[in-house]
Amino acid sequence: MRNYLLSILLTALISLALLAGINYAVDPLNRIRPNTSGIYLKAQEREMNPGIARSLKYDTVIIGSSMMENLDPDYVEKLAGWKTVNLAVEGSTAYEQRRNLEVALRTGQVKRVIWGMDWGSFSHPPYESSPGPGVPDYLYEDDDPADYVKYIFNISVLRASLKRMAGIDLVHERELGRLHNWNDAYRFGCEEIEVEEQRFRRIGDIFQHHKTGVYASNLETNFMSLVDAYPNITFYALIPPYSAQWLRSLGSYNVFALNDYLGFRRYLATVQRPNLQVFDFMSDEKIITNGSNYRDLAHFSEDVNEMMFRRMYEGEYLPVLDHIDLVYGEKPMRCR
Amino acid sequence: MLYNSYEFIFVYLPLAFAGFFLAARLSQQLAALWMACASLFFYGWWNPACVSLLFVSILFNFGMGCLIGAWRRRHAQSSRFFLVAAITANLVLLGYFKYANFFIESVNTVSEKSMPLQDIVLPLGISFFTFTQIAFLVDVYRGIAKEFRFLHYLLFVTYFPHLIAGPVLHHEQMMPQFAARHTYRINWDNVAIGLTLFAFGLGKKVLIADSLEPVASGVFDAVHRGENVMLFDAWAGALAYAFELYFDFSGYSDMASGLSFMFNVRLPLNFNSPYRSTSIIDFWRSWHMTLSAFLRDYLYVPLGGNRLGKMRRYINLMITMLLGGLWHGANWTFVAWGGLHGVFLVSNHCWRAFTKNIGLRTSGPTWLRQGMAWALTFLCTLVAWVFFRAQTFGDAAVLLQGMAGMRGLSIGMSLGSVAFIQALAKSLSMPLELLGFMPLATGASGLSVLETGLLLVLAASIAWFMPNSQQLLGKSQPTLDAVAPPSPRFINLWNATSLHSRLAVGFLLGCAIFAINRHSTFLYYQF
Repeated sequence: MRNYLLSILLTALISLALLAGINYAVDPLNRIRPNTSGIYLKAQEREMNPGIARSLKYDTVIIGSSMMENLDPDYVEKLAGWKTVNLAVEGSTAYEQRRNLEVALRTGQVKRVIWGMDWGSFSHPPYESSPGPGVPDYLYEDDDPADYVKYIFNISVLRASLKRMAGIDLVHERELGRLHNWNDAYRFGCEEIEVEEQRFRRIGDIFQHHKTGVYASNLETNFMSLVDAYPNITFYALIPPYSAQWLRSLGSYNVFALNDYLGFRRYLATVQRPNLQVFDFMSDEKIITNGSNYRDLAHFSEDVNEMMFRRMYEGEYLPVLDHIDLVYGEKPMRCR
Repeated sequence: MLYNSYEFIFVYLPLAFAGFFLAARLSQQLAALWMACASLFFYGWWNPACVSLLFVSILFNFGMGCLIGAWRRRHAQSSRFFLVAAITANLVLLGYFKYANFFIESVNTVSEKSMPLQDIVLPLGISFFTFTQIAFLVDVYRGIAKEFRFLHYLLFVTYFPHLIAGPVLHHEQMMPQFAARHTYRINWDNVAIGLTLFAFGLGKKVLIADSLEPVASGVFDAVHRGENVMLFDAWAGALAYAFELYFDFSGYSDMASGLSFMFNVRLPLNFNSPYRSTSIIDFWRSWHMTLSAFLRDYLYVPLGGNRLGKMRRYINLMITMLLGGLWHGANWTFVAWGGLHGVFLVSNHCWRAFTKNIGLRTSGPTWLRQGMAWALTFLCTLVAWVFFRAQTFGDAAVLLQGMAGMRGLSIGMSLGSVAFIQALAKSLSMPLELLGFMPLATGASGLSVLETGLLLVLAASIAWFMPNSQQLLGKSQPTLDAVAPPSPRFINLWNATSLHSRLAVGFLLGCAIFAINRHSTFLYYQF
């Protein structure tokens, strides 16, 4: 039996070395080496973004939640001439967004940050990730040797390595800008808004994973700290335009959340830094009452993202405190 | 500390193992002390503050055990009083930590008040060490437990292979093993078999259960968020959870038994291929067997068992299963799960009596009878698991409706409508990924429809058709209870002398250790 014991231990060690060797050689998420092939493995943004941020050349970063996934870097470059990468993460908290952005900031090439200030991302304690596993830490820090071990001895990375070796789900660098763009995957209009409204009616309690009264500490920890730490980088904070129906629903189902949201906007409207510009698109009645802009209560189409950037570039929609208290909750949605 | 962690496998286990057998060279008592201390360290790794609670519980129960034992012959009445007092104290402790907030929430719901919830940290394994010690007290009262060496008692309760998630141990099973000389001498045969069983368990846990977890969570969490769940998603979620739970818990039990056997101590068998059962009665004889035995010996039998007539027997069964459900968690859905199993068990007993009376039990071809019985049993357990996993009764109802096809087949489809036929015809020409077969299951797990399907088929095949870990190891019998031999074609599937067995077990161990580290893909399906 000692012989048996030794042979299984030896086989286990060889297997471990073999599997780790595959991960090291393939490096499917570009953790060990920057990507020079221009070919990337399609994965969730939390897994892909650090490798992209370390590999590409750019001077502008788009960051935020699903609200910013549709802003095409090519559109930004075409309009403003800024070489841009989109590192938005669906369903992310501000903490997760900061983690993504920090990888890009550490490369030293960033001059501008365009940040979608989604209240849903900031209504969490400052160091909280979204429900689920959060960002894989071992991909995000630059110098911790333990992270390399966690990356190499990792079955999720092995699955990615095998996919990469088999040529499954590979995308070219030029496709990255629209890889997580969901504009073409959904229908937009009042019917779609009504579907989500019904869901809210059914469960009765919306934004149950969100926390009120924490936006200030979250903004200070995850946003203002970076604005202050990088004075040579210009931060553009874009408050996205949710639908007027969203405001009404929030008022009906969770009035605490509505007040929290208004406080969040007020905070951003009053904060001042030389390298920070805030744009409040929620104050435009025409956008937020146009049903054809929305795929649900809050998510808007790519046209709106483009309009946001265009207006931002032209310097419009700077926040006016008076606008914030105009809730527009009484305004009906215009449906076609 | 978890078995499926690098710190356990590469640091704790080698140190605990080496320390135990080195200490045993000097003295058995020293080795037992080493093991008890190592076990307390193992427990304290999670939350050191809870070690003191465990230690106080041990001191109290040992003291009460000595008291009950001393008074048992002289004054039975006093002895009974001490027993009741000690059990009450244990249940109060368990009740406070596990059920205080559940009680407050229930009162709030009924009275529409809003009493604040308590900030209580549930100590790891409190249900297990409380039940183990209640069993000890009752055994002392009954005169079954007679050994009163504190060090051995400390080891009996804290012994790390069983401390956190069982199996539930009996004093009489363990004390002779802790006292035996051969326990303190290294036995390489046992180490090899124990490591093999550990590899099987680790593989079940990290390769299968952990892979199924995001599939099940994706569906159940989406239901809780208020999303619609359709036929394929609902079945994928329910099946994934049923198999996840089995491979997780039986894998844990295999690891516990394997680790213990490396220290020459056999633990009782906890799982014996429960999903192959052809009746709910059989299911409870092969699922979490040590808890079933505990509930039978210390709850069902004291309630009167089957000695007081049929009706009383069924009532006792219902009470036992309802409390068994509550033991699993502080939520009414767990009580409902226990209640459902109570109803199934009562129905099963009634059906057996009825079919025996009219001679139906042996009619028809065996394969058909057995097949139908197996399918019905599995379906019943599956329905009950939905209540076990769902966060609310509403969630469970939605998922069961989804499984029944009442919430649509695929995206935009509803059973029974002409539009369904048209949409299905259209769907067949679409790529598999766009079919919307399992948007919730695949969305949350990051797996494709094909991968999810293959994973479920693999899990089902192992649970339904393969011999279990103990059957594979055959005569080595690393647990206290023997199992029936596997079917002849599987008899030599594992053989310590064959090269393929060595390579397969070594490769499984390597893969399982490698798979400890994973990042569950996160796709927040509705953003």
